[in-house]
Amino acid sequence: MFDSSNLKTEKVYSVLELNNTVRRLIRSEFSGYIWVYGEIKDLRMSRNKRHIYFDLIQKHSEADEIVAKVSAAIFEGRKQRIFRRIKETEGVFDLKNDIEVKFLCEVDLYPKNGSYNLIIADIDPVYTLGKLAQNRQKIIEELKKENVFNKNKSLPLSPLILKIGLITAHESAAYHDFISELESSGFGFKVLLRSCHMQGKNTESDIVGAINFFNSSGRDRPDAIIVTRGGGSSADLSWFDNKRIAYAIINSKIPVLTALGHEINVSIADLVAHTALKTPTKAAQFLVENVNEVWNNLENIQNSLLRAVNRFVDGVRLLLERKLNQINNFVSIYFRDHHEDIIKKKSLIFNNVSHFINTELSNILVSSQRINSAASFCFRGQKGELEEKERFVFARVSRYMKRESGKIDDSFVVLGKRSNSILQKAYKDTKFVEEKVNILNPSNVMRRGYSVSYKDNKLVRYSSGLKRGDKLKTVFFKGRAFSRVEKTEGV
Amino acid sequence: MNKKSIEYSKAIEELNKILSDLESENIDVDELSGKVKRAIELIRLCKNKIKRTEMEVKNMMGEFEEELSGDNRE
Repeated sequence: MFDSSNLKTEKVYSVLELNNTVRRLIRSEFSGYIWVYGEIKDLRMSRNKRHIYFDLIQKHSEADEIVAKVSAAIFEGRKQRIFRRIKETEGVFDLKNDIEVKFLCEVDLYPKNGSYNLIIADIDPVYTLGKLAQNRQKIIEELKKENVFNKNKSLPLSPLILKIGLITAHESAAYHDFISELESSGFGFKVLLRSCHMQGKNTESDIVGAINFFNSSGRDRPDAIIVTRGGGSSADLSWFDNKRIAYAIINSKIPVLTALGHEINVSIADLVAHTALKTPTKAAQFLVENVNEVWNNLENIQNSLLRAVNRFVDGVRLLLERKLNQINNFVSIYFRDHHEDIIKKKSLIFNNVSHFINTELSNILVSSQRINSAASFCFRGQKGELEEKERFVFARVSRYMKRESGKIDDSFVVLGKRSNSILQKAYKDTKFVEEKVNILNPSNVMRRGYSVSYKDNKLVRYSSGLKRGDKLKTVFFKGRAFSRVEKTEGV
Repeated sequence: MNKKSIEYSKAIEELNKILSDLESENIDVDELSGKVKRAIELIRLCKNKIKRTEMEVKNMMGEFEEELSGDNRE
């Protein structure tokens, strides 16, 4: 059992009396306004949206651990004044979680719930600006010290950027600006969207996650990553003065292009990015221009190729024309030099051949007449049969002659077309044939004094077929004689 | 650099080689038609990569979307 008898008890309080007493003590200690600095957490509006409540916290100087916390309130009456003061800093920051602030405030306690609160009266925006700048400077110095500032910048930009890893809020104005600018180019871009918060507490983890996602994607690995959002205040831009986002960009193996929508201020993300552009539209134009250059380069190569081929073909054509002229000259000189010779040979051949044909024809005609007359003389009764045989013989002979003369004509044509050596050979051959023909021609033999004898119209070759008293008919080169056999010899 | 970009770089390299061969006339007349055909094919391939396909937007679902649907359940 608790025994209070030996404790010295001075006074007994009701809860209200107690709370009022503490309140008095607080008010006497903090008689006027005081400055308090800390970090905003759990920022929220009252149910009627008139007042703002939040916690002001203090973190451990080394670890990310809260060591002290106090509730704070901005009542409706002070709200406008505080917002105006923040706006006067050209919107570099907003009243939002995680920012460091310094407030002018009263300390008070509400007896009804027994907790003490800060009633905010004013803000010192310079403090926050300093803290932001300090934080930013701290990150920049660290990056410089680690010599990683230009790591992403040093990555080669792909020569043909068609696959794009887009980091922005899906369906935002920035998203539509970017996509419609790309679309109007008519190029076959492939955009892989990774929708992210572009402001607020999730910005950091979303963007870091998205950059890492694109870096680890295999088949769909983009040629470049674009981090973009529409215009906003500098306060929104301060989300990109972020160490983890900076390192995600620095460690990305894919070039990261930023376009964070602010015309004047530059975030740390912009500083470490491969290329920092201003707006989503400008980022898209940069990409379109890139592909356009590739396209023009291809056109240039195509035109150069065409010119080179034309030049090449012209060169070859000139060479061929030169050679053709040389051949033409050579041939015409050759023909000029050999023209008369060829004409002479041609007519020689023609004369020889026609002489041969004419001689043969006349011989055959003579023979045919002889046969005709002999036959009509000896075989009057068999005239019809003989005539048939004669026709047969004549037809064969003329067929033979036609064939031969046709062959000769053909040869003549061929010979006419052939070269000098063939002409000469043909000429020699013809000469040979002519000599042969001359030797064999019986009229030539008979001209030299030889004669032919017939018995009963049969040619006599051997004297053994003759006996004394046989009638002989002897044919000379010119004229005939009839005789009787006296004696035979040389059997 | 992804596969397409490497292919493109190689194509450009080959095109420039053919072009310099042609321009220096360091090429046989029998090879000409083959080389020109190859060059035209390469140019066509590159151009097709850039222009033949329609632009495409693909939404890569990430943690953000999962988190959103989580929010909707609350």
